[in-house]
Amino acid sequence: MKNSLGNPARGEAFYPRDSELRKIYRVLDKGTSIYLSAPRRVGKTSILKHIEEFPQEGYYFVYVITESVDSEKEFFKVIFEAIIRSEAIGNLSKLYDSIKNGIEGILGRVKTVYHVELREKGETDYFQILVDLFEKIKKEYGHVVILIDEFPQTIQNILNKEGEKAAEHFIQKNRELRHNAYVLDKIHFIYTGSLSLFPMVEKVTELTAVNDLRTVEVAPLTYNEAQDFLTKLLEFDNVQLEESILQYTLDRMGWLIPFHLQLIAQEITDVFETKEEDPLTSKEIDQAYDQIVHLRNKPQFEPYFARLATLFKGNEYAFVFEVLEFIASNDMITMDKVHDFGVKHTVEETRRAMDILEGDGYLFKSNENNYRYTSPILQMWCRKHICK
Amino acid sequence: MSVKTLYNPAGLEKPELIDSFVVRTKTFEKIFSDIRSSDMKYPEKHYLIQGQRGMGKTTLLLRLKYEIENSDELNSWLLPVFFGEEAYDLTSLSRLWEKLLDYLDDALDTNGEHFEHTEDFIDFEDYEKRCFDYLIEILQKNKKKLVIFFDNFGQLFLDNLKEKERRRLREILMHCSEIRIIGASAIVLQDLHDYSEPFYEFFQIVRLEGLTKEETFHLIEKLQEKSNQKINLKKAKGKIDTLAILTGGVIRTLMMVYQVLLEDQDGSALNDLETILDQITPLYKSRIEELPVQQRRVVDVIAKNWDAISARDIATQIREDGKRIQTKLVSAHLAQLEKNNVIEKKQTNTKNHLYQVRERFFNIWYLMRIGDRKDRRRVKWLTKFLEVWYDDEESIQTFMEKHILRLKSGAYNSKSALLLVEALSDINKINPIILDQIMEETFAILKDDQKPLLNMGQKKLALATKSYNSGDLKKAIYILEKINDRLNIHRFVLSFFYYLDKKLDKIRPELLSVNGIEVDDLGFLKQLCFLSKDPDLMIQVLSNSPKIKEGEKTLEIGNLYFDLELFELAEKYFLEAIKLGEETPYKALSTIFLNRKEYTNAEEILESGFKSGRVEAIDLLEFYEFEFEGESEGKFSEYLKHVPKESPFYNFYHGIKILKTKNFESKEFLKAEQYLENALLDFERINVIDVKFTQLISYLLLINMRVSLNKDKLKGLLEIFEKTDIVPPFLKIYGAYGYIILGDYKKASELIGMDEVVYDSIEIDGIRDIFNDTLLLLMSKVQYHSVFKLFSENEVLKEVLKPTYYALMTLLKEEYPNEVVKMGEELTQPVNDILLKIEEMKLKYD
Repeated sequence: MKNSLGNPARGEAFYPRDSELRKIYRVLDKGTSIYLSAPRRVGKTSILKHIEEFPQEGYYFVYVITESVDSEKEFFKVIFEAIIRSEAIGNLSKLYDSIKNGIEGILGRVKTVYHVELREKGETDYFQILVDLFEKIKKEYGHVVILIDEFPQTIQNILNKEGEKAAEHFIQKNRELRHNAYVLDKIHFIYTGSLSLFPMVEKVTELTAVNDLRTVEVAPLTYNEAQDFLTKLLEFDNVQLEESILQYTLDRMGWLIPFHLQLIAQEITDVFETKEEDPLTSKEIDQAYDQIVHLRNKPQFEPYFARLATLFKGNEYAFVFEVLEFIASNDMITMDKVHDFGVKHTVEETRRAMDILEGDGYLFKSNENNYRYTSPILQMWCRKHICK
Repeated sequence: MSVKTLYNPAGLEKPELIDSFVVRTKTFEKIFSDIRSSDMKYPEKHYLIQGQRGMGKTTLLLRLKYEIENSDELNSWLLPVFFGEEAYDLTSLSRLWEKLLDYLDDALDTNGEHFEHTEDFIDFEDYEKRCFDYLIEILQKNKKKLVIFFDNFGQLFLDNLKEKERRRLREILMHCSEIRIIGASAIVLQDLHDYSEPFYEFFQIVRLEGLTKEETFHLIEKLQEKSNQKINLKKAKGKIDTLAILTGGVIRTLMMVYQVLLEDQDGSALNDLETILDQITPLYKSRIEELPVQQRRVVDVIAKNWDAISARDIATQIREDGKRIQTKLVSAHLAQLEKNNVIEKKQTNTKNHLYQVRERFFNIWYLMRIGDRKDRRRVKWLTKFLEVWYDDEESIQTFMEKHILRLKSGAYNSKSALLLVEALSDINKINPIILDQIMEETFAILKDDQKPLLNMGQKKLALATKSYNSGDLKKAIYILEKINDRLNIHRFVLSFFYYLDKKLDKIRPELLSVNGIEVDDLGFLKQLCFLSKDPDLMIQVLSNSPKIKEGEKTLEIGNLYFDLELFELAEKYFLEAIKLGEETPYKALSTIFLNRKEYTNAEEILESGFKSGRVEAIDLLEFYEFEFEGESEGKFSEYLKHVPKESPFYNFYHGIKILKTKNFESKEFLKAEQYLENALLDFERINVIDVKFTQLISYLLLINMRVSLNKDKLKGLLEIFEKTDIVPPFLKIYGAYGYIILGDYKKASELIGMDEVVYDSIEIDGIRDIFNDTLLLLMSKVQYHSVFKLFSENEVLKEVLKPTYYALMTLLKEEYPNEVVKMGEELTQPVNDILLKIEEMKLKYD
């Protein structure tokens, strides 16, 4: 299995996440839209791209990423274009025809659906066009699911560019679309993104605006899955680990997300290549482990900490960093110390921040009195590159 | 290859570049094998090659491009595009698509058709998107894919993009399988590049580190193939290793040094170097100017040292408003500079790591271009390289003899000759006679305006010092004596050498020949006269020194007598100096008074010194002894005897009696608690809510918190406390203490932060003590910032609870490094006691 470190894993490089896929279909079968939640780099995009490419029978997925989108109009336009260009939709003749007819009715002048050239006639209301389009889709064709990646970032973009009102309107408009009579039973949505959705929504409106979404969590790999995955990654580069060494590696990793396993695989291969003879010992695993936090992997780690700037501002931001740095150096933090830092940074409510850090996978409560890093690697990175 | 062409690999012909590509081969193979094995069905991994300037990034990119062009299995479908330094117009995403379409027109021979098609998109809001979609369409139609080699990817392209464009590019790179990017990016000094954007996360970063010893050897082996100056490579292995370390393995620096050391017949390599340094000056200068002022000073010290240096040594060389900068502060700057890639840390066995400028070529530039042209340090790097390469007397002698011949040939570049003689002068194991000869020969070819730059007098002194340092005192004296028109500094140093040589009689005549000494020489002169125990000599020399003020002379003579412990004379000169307007030497005078047992005078002079800010409080404190405070005793026990058992206050006062007479460690205390708990029932029965109740609840709290430590009982007591009518400040403090034990720090801080509590704690001794204990308990629960807040809001507390404040500052020293240093020495013990007490509390109240 080729190591696709950094990129969303596609094709052969995707490690099957059966349990997550089952969960997603289970919810979709019930006709509910989803918020796919996971700490960053756990594999959300890979899962979305996978179900788009290899859907269960009767499902049609359209993937769209809206990271650069910064207005409501653009958002619905991008979704519209993604649908009419989607291969999944194009492959289904009935759906294709109904959409094609729909577009002809809507826009008048269309040459082909795939690589269609669209001419805008004045100010086009893409929201309405989408609704019209959805109206044309008959329920018996199958489930159409729109996968929207980086949705919370879009909210942030709109918030930055047009302000709170516009962002709230945008969120409400999405809700309206999901609840539209033509849409409700036929079209569903999966939202995801590397920023957490709920704190972002809370910034501009009530959480009720998204309470129709079912949250599906993407969990780390199980121990057995991780073992299998790491073995396959290493096999690609002709590296083999003895059973006990493999276990040793996984024990050191702690948090078994595919991304971290890809990282360690990359470093193990690197160590292997400079070594004269095999097999690799725990000493070399330690070396590989230490290499993970080399500066060259900065692009992989720094976003973990940079994204906090969008979630926390001012004092709260300083507080969060002090907590993270403290744990990085001391392995854990007591509630007493959390309170102390709260006073230091005049953060009255330390709970909210700590809950986000816990919810987003940075920290976990090792007992009722203290927090630790979920990932020893993340801790090591913070200690080496962020702590003063 | 000349030094100049080291700077432009793109200028090399394709076969020439491929032929000269001898290092970085592994990296090349790794990336290329990835390119070859990728069908680009899905978006592929992008690469970002990072390294200092001169590490071979551009060469590697070009090498990869050429390999794709030469590979039949790839060149049919994969088109490599190279954007180098000249692609300065790549200022937007749409410009990139335009350029690529333009490139496709060339590659597909479509005569500008594709580029012209973009005309149709003009004035559309989504122009960029349309161009991109069109580009992809063309690529798909022609079954081609693109790999873009992007030199200086960050600065040249990415930095120009708007936020939205970057997000868009990220979307594209993540999901488009038609385009792959292999970028390169220089780590120059402050690496401010923000990798925190998720932008870079699907780039695999390939760091080009310095060449290893083996790679360096391989490189030099290759260079030797075309060289006239063949060296025995096997023999030179050790030197090459050191060269690899000294250059940081930077290819360009290595090759430049190689040219200078081995290939340079006429000084042209050094001359080329000068040209390059001039070219690079604007870039480097702006980099330095971006640094904060203090960091700039730290970099200055490190750069001028060339070799790695410790934080402590750096600190000794930086002064801030007349004070030495603290090592801690230097360390903080170093951490920042290291993070920004300006400097690099060299691990040592001890805690004191050493630091040097990461980019060695930048260090060379710094030495050569920053500071005085006469600064000997500017060729320090060259000296180091010469020392490495010519590492024994014989080889350096051979090199120098060759150099003399080259100088005599008349074709040698005079500026380069000057640099070389500077560098040679600082080499340790060198024959002074040959060096002397080189100096003369160099002097001979210098132009008139260059001659003063050679600074012969200084060099001879350096030569003598070097002889002395290498243990040859006689030779050192000989060299200096040989100089006919000796400068003052020659005479001072020579006198010192006479002293070392036990020729005291020669000092006097030598120093008497000195004329017109400067203020800066005063110290040296005083030291010499001290060593020769000859104050008259100093008086004589100074009488012939019109450049120094009378007062200063007199003061310095006083100092000499003081050092010689001739106090009467010292005092006489001091008083005279004061009359002449010099500042009073308070401490010295007080020592003189103390010596005569005149304590009052000694005290007065110190006090006046204190007032004028020249004597510190700790000096004064040395005079004073401890204070004592008596304690009165009550008749408590006497009266208690008269209280009948039935009285509702019986239990209360019996409890108190134990409290008054026994100490906390006593077992009786638990008995007292029993009495008082009964008293509580008594009081409830007859509804006592006055000050006695207040007293009772405070005692119960006190016992619980200090002795029995029952958290459930404590909770109950605090509930009663909340309902108590009369709550004087001291009880509030007890309450706070209790809340701390239960972990409610917010409540505790509110209580002790009340104005009346703070006021009483400042004014009343007894209350101050319990208040202080409460602060310590908070600190034992690591609530440093609650305590700090209290101190900040009430400055007076800092004064009255000084040891606690400084204990806190000790615990927060990383946060407030400047506070704890203000602590007087007399506080060391009390502060330690407090820290100890905090530790004890930690155990007790865990």
